[in-house]
Amino acid sequence: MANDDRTILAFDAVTTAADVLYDARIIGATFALRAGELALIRFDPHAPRSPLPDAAMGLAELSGGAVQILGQSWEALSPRASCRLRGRIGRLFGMQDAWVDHLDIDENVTLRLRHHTRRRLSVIDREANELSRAFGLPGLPTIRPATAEPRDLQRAACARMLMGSPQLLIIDEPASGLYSDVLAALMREVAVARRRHVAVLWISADPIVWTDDSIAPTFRGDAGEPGLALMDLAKTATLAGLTAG
Amino acid sequence: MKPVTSLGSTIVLRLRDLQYLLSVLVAIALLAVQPRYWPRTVRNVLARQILFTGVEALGLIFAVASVAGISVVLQAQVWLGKVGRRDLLGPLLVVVVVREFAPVLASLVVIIRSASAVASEMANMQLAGEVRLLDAQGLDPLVYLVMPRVVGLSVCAFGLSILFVVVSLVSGYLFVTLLGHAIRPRDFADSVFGALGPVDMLNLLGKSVIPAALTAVICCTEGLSVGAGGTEIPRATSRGLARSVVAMFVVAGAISVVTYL
Repeated sequence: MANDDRTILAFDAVTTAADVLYDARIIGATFALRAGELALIRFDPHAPRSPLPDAAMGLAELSGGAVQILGQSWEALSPRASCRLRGRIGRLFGMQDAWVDHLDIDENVTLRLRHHTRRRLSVIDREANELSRAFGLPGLPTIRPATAEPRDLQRAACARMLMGSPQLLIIDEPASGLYSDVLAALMREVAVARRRHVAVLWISADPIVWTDDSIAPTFRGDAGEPGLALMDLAKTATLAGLTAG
Repeated sequence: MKPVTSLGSTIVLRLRDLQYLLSVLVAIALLAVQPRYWPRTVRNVLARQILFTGVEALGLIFAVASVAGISVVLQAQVWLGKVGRRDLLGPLLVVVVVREFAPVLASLVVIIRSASAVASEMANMQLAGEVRLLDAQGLDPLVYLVMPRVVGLSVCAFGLSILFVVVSLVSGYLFVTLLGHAIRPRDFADSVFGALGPVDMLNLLGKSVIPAALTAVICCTEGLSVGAGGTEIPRATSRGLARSVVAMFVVAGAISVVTYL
């Protein structure tokens, strides 16, 4: 799908430390995700607070191994450089589907770009409105998150993730129960993003996500098992073809 | 031996707290002087903080300063007249109003209005996962949440102190004029401004800015350090409020001592 072979995200024997914030640990995970690739990772739905997204963003404490983002190890980066890199990652928050309560939804959606870039507000607002419409909203909501419909919040959260054409998308939606129309729009927009060489880390236990062909993952993996190493579906398919032949 | 050990442990703990607070304060001061740490989002937070702590406190400051000014100016005028030393009116008002009343009462207003609000807001954000949400979007909580509050409270405390001085002196003067004890406006102004020196302004600056900055740091750290459970919010709030008041009086006392040494 992609002719850009830069490695966007790489886990090297990553083991996360025990933390009350998470329901599970990652033990010895090793994989690399290049531009345009999508890794679909299953997490135990009974332990939905996965440390994987935070580990990918350099936010989870590691007891072993290293995570590299765009060729740089999180540990080697200064706090300011880490923040700037996080500003280039789009994330759909799952169980921690948090909104900054004292900001309106439009302010929440545009917050990352307003903070990390000097783009004109009109340009940022235009992009946010276009993305909102792509997810079925009439425009960018200007109300507080607490007063919005759950479906609209999901749509706005998807728009927030895609703001600013991030290089890596982390879809952290264990047990988040996305509405079917929102999920369909998300799959469509993720496919568009992948054509622009965006790497995607999609964590889900949702059977619809795992069985829908339109997602077309490059890898699949199961984060519930020690030593998460992603299965390369292209190679698997080739092997399966050889076996069948 | 046990009470001594307990006292020693308490002192060590308090000193560690103080060291932590001062290190956060220094880190914020170093960040705040660099324009790159002031993107528009952080400036927005600063503007909201100034609106809440400064602009919305104007009415309260006017009320407190008017009452305090009337009380101080009236008594100073009457008692100095009785002892025949009206020439000391200016120096006395500078010492009482500029050095002590204005910064201490303005700081108290800032603490009462903002300390508990900041602590509970931070604690709520922490418990709701909003702080992690900001972190995950590359917004450093120290830069986005703490720094504008420290700067906002400091700026407001200094501004409100200046306003307190002006309002209290003017209201006091107008009141004694109404009672027929007045001296000429120009003599009153000369007396006050003649007694006002750089030390007094430094005193006012130190007693308003340092306690306000400490209040913001104390309340932010108390709020952000809550663990799980909503019951920790009121505890963090009251701890932040109490520690801010103590810090304010300790700083004010220390600056007074340094001023007179």
